[in-house]
Amino acid sequence: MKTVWVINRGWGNNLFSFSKQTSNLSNENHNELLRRGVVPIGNGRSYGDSALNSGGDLLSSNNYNQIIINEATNTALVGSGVILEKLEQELLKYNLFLPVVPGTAQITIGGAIASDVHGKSHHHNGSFGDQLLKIKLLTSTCQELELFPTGEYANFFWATVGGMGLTGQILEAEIRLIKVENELISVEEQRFTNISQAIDLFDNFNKKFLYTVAWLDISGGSTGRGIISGGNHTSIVDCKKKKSEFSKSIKKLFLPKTLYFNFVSNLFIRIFNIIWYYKPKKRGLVEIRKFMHPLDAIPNWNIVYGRKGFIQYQFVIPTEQADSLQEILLILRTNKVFSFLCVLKKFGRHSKGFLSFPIEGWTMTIDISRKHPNLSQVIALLDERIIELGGRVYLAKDSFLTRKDLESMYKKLDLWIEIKKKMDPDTLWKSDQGRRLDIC
Amino acid sequence: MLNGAGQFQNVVLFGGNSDIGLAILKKLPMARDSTLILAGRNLNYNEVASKFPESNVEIIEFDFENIDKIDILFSTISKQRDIDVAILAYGYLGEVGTDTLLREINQQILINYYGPAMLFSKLFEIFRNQKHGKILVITSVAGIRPRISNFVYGSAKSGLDFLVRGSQNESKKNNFTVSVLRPGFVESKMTQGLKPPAFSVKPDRVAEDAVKGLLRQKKIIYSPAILNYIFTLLRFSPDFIFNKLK
Repeated sequence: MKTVWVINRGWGNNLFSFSKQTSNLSNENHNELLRRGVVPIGNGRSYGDSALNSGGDLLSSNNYNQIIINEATNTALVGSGVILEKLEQELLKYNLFLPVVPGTAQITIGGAIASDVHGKSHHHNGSFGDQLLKIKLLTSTCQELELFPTGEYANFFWATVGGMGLTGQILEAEIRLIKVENELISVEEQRFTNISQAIDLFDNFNKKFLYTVAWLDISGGSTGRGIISGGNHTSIVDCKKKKSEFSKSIKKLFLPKTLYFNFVSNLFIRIFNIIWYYKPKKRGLVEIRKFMHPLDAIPNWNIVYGRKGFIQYQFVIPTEQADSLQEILLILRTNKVFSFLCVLKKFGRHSKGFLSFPIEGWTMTIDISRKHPNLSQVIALLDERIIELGGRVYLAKDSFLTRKDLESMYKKLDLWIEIKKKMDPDTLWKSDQGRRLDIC
Repeated sequence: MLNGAGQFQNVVLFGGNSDIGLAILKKLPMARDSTLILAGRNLNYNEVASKFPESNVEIIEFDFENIDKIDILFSTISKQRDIDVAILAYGYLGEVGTDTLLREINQQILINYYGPAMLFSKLFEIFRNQKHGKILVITSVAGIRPRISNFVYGSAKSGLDFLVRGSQNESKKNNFTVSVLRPGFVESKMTQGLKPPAFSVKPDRVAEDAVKGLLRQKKIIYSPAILNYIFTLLRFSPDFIFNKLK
């Protein structure tokens, strides 16, 4: 059979690899796969190069698409290839939902575990890894291992959660669920004019709401103002006023491919941010998937940055460094970074995965066009400051870190490397990000 | 591997004493904590490292006249790391004139063709395996048409140029680029003592042209760029005109 090599890109369109797809790992193809390694892939929503493998193989999870819901225990056994959107649709039929969902539902369960995703509920529920009861993992020796968060293989479990696919291919997972009475979220929004107000509002909102997040305006003089949103699941009583939209699928707008040029100029961002900041505040009931995944309404929104693409930079700094958020905004403003997609969130507890991103503190996510003239210098400045503040950058969004940065940010890196060597002695599991960070 | 801004992490220069090679290294967009590996003769680590304070510099002592030991060279260039850019920048200008033909031909062919060709073939396999990166081979406009003063040198460069150009189709299929850099007369250590003719350039200018061409994935890069047009004309000019250009 002829080998087909294809170009694969990260979601940010800033990095790509020339790789071949493989659908299974077996003893027959093992030696050939060792040449450049394999990385398990999901739905290609990592922004950088964590799901790329130049000259090597990408191992698809498409075959692992089962969903088995256990209503008695409020758990689900889900294949790693299942897209979150599909799982949510299935769960809502049983008045169930995931306690943690990220900003997009277009990721696979395998990807959610490998990146240990987090969402608007982190201050209450932690990250995705905290909801897992069990993972089934395919190792480099083609064995299927069952891993649990405690017990004999707990280290393997926590190396895999947030391990960016470099410990093995996740095949399925048993996930804890929450009961919901309907598919609606009761939402409240409030504007703030500066970051100090946002910090105070978060303290109140985090106590009052299960889901909280803030949008920040990053456009010159207006940098720092924004809108905070809070949401809670509603009871049946609250829903009487709004007809259930459960049976309808979410409307999506696909941008035409011919739009593949960057129209996200600074002027466009300024105008957009003004309109967004002054839009009427939401107060009322919103369909759960619209609240959780607003950008999924435009599935290919990433093409608005054109061929050069963009980077998404997400960092977290400890709670006690909250005052430094203003300084970081100043770095962005001084370096003329404009963004229409900047999100602020207050995290709860540290995640347990050795390379998991969330720590107790403040996380900010910014989209920056690759056309920015001093992009690498801005990122270097931010990385340096984040390290000084004891923070870290999210590997699922990263495309700049070096091995030295990683060592400074992730104190359990040595432990993770030690466990990876045990789990993957031949170093079968490799990615371009792993090569760049020199961890595989 | 590249980072999100398209900066290089790991670059290798074959010909660590080359003025053009070193100038190119200075102009390349390098990532933080990048690694520069320089292979050549009598390289002084401190001197080289001081020129590139923001990169990690590694020196490999290697005499390119002993090209049969090439496997040792490549085993030292760590197989763990992918190479983002490889630059073949060493050469031997030698003496000029027809009376040097027999004396010079061994050296010229060995250093300017055979050695780089062997090196290039090894690099080609590495890049074909990794499916990304750029190889830049410095040839010369002297290889376009034989001139009385340096036809032996030109013949070797021409052969190397031909080899590299011939591989460009295969490299494109494997997602890496292979470029030839054809500089004119460059005022450097190699040409010290020679009178610079028209259109001569300094290594910095060559480096600018080279990096610009590399980033645009150009197959042939001239420096200065005007030589492209000049040599296109000269290629077809009659002997009685061309031979006046010694």
